[in-house]
Amino acid sequence: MAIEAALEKRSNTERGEGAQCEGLIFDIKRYAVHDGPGLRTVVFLKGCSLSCAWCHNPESISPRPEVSLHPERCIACFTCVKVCPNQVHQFGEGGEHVLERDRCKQCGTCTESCYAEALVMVGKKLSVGQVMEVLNEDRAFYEASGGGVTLSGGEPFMQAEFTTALLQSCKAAGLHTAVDTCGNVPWAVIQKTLPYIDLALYDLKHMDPGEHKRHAGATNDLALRNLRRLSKSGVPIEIRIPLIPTVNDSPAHVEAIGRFLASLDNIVGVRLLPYLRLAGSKYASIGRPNRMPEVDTPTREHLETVAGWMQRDRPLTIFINA
Amino acid sequence: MSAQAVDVKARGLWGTFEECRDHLFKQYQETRFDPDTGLSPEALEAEVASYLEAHRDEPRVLQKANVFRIVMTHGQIAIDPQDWFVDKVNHGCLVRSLSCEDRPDGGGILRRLSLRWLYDTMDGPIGESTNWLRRAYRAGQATGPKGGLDRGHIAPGWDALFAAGLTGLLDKVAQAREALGTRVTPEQLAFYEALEIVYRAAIELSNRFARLALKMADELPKHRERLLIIASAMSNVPANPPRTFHEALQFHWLVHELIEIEGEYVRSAGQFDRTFYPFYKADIDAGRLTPERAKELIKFFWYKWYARTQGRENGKNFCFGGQYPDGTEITNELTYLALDAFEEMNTPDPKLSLRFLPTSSEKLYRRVAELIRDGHNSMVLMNDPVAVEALVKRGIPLEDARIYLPIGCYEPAVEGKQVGCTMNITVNLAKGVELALNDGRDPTTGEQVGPHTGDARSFAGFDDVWDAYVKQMDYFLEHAHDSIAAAERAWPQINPSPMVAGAIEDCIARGKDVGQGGPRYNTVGFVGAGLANACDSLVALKKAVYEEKRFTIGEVLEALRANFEGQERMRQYLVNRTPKWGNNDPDADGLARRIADYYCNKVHNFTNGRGGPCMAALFSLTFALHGGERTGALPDGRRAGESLAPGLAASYGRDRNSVTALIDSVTKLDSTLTPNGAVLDVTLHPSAIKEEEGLEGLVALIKTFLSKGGYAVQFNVFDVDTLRDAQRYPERYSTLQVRVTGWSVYFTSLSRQEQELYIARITHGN
Repeated sequence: MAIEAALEKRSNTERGEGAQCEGLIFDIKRYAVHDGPGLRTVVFLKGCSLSCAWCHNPESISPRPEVSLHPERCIACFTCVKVCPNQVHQFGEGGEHVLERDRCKQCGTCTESCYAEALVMVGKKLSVGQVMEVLNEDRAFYEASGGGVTLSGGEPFMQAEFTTALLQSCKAAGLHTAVDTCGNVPWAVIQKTLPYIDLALYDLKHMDPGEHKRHAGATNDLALRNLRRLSKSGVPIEIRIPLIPTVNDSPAHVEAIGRFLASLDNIVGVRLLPYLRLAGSKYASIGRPNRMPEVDTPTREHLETVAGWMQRDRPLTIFINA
Repeated sequence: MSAQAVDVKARGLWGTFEECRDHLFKQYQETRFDPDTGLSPEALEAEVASYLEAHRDEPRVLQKANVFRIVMTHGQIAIDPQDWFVDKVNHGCLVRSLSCEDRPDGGGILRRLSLRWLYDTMDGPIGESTNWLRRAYRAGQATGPKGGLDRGHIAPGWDALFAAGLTGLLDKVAQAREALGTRVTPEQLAFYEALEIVYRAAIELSNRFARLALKMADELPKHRERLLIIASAMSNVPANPPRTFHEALQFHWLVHELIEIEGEYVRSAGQFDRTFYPFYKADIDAGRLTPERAKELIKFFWYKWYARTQGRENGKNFCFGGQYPDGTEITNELTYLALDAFEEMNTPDPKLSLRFLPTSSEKLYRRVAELIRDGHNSMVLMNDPVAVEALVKRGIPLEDARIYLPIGCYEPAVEGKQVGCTMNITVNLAKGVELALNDGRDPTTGEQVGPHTGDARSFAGFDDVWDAYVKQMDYFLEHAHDSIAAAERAWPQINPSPMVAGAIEDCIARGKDVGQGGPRYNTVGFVGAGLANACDSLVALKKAVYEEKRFTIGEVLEALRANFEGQERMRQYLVNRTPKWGNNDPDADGLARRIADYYCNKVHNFTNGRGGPCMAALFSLTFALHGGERTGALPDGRRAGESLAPGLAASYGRDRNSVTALIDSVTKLDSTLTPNGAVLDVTLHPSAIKEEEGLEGLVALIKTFLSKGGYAVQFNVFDVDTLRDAQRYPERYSTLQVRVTGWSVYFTSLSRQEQELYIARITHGN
């Protein structure tokens, strides 16, 4: 995993101010092709200001490290039981591994000694300098493809200081930057990073404040207000819409999105992301209740129909990731 | 073929490929020979037997040539009136395959003769070296062809053949004999006589085809037009230079057939867009042909390759792209037309390879990326400047190096000038680690196969492990080299090859057969397999035993002996907590480079049995599986019998840092040290290459691999079969990630229901 590789890196202090600033990262993915132009490395920051029912990265929601359990990898060596100072780990009659998560202090003793990687610490502290070392490894690939770096999450702006410092470092290193945000953060945080962002990937989930609160845990006021401001800032924006049948795919709602987008500037594209109910195992691994809606993945035909509704008022550049 | 056997539905001359397709697929299984056209295989066999009986004392090259003559001038022949190309001679084995030596019919009359001579030699003059190699193969140290001699992997010089025709070769033979004057030896005289016999026989065969086509044209009015074209072609080629694109293809296929019937394997079918381009261009310019019709001819021509293998054998390779001897780029409109034909045929054979230059156009990259994305994943992409430099470093002049062809799978040889024996031996680089840890004794068989390098428990540190590894490998490679050289020296007695000799410079001028050092370049390939396993095993010992001192060497040896039984925690540590090749890890990559440098330089110190150089390669092919079966548990955490790593890539499931890191690692190797090829197999997720951005990403991946100096790369897009396999063997696929925009998850950690959902998505998706 690139994130483990990053932990091995010695932060290069010559990278200047902010290089020692630390963030909580839960994954780094290289060779990403659908998160901004070209080949990209995506840095996933832990912690989100929303908690969408359909979230497929549930390990991104909590702003603290979490122990994830992958029982299929367990070799039943019971080392975790022996080393845990807080009696978190228990094995039931049938051999099932039970975590008393209330007692867990995220000390990392069990994950460190679980060689089989059945127990993994989700969320590692990394400095800007360490992350930059990994990002720079793929420079040749960015250059060949017009790619760069994407910060995602979670919500990257939840770790404002780290995100700003990392973006600054990327720009100083001449790397193209994109940030994937839900927008539900103070405008001042976003504003401060604008000089260092080449592309904003902006999530849009629901136009109705009540529905937004019901499904995502907060109203959409701040997110929509920030999007209007952002659209005046000159930063190109790609809108990303997770399309969840019965939640946000009705003609009326989609047309409302279209009208709203038509009123904005600097929208370079709209990407429809079909809902996929595949994250059940992830919820289980971190002991988070799974509230994913029990609906099917929309078909390409449906997505194309939705794209048609969305452009009733004004044509948009719509990408479909079916 | 009798008139009754032919489906005589009215047809036009053109646009018939799709309707003929199923028929063409079975063309070698369902051929019916008219008894009036010649002797039955049994009668032919008797004729040959009586000839050989009466000419026991004749030099073998003449025996071979005369048997060839009898087959070509007396065997039954057939023409399929629906086909554009003729080729069928009843020599007892039409459904020929690369492994036909193991078939009951032995691959036909001529191959059976060569096989008999091979077995005689293996039991006699080269008995000792054969037995030594057999034991090495048994111990999983290596694999190679019977008797230790790769007689295949021939790349005939098509341009020279087309320019001269077989009549021109007969003139060259006469001139060469005259030039030698009184210095000519009896051996050379026999060789020249043999050349004349086989070329005259081949010309007589083509005349027989021409006469049969004329006769059939009268009998089959619906196919008359095509049969007349065939008759005209066969009265010209291969005796003379081809006059049209169709004749060039016909010349190529028939001579390819004759070389193989004689007993060689033509493993590169040539540089398609250079060799056939002048004929294509002339036909188009003269208005004799349209691109669409040319494409149809290509399909009929190529389908023969598929009909032969039925998709089940190692295929043969057509090359595209690359450069002329003067360094100018070849890619032209025929390149793209042929790629279109390949895409429309949608068959696993023939195989295609692409030679990329720094100047290659965006169009070529994109076209190739599209084909890969759409599942045509048998293509090998070669880095031309690197491949050329690797050959130049081994003494091949630049102009000749520039016309190399990837032979068979990936091994370059100069077209028509080099006999490369490229797959002469495939060496298990990981076996050396096992032997170094066991004082040269193979723990599986208990045999002492290597030298005594000491009890590993007494090793003071990692340097001792490395020294023992090098001693084990040195010993093996030196003995293997000696054994191969012995087999090479016996080549003229095993398989004299006059038919192919004229297709390889300078056999005629030197008066020497392909196995006697006649070709301008005579090389032997030493392929190294399992680099990742050797590297990961050594680096794991270095880290876990000698640096961290987490385990003693004794504990590791015990665990290996027990195949990690009861030591799963140690195995998990070795798998997950020690550096692995393919992740851009400096420790692992440094060691891989050290192994590769050692191996290649060792091989390059050898001179082969024909006086030429030995050429190193790094890839594995099926030996990953078979060599793995004969290799015990290794310190990289691999269990006994499991497959070795594929090609140059990381071990299965151990490249956890994405394909870009894998490419970073692999391109740290010195590609100019592998003149016999080095190929990275990359497996991509289907979503990673979807849509326009996925295509652009793939193009960027290829370009970056090449610009970083990688040697060759081959892509696979994992499919439903992979996912089903992952369900069966989750451990092998522990790092297989299912990736969708913005997120990813380990496939094996999904519930069964979720796995099914995902499989359904990629099946019914796009």
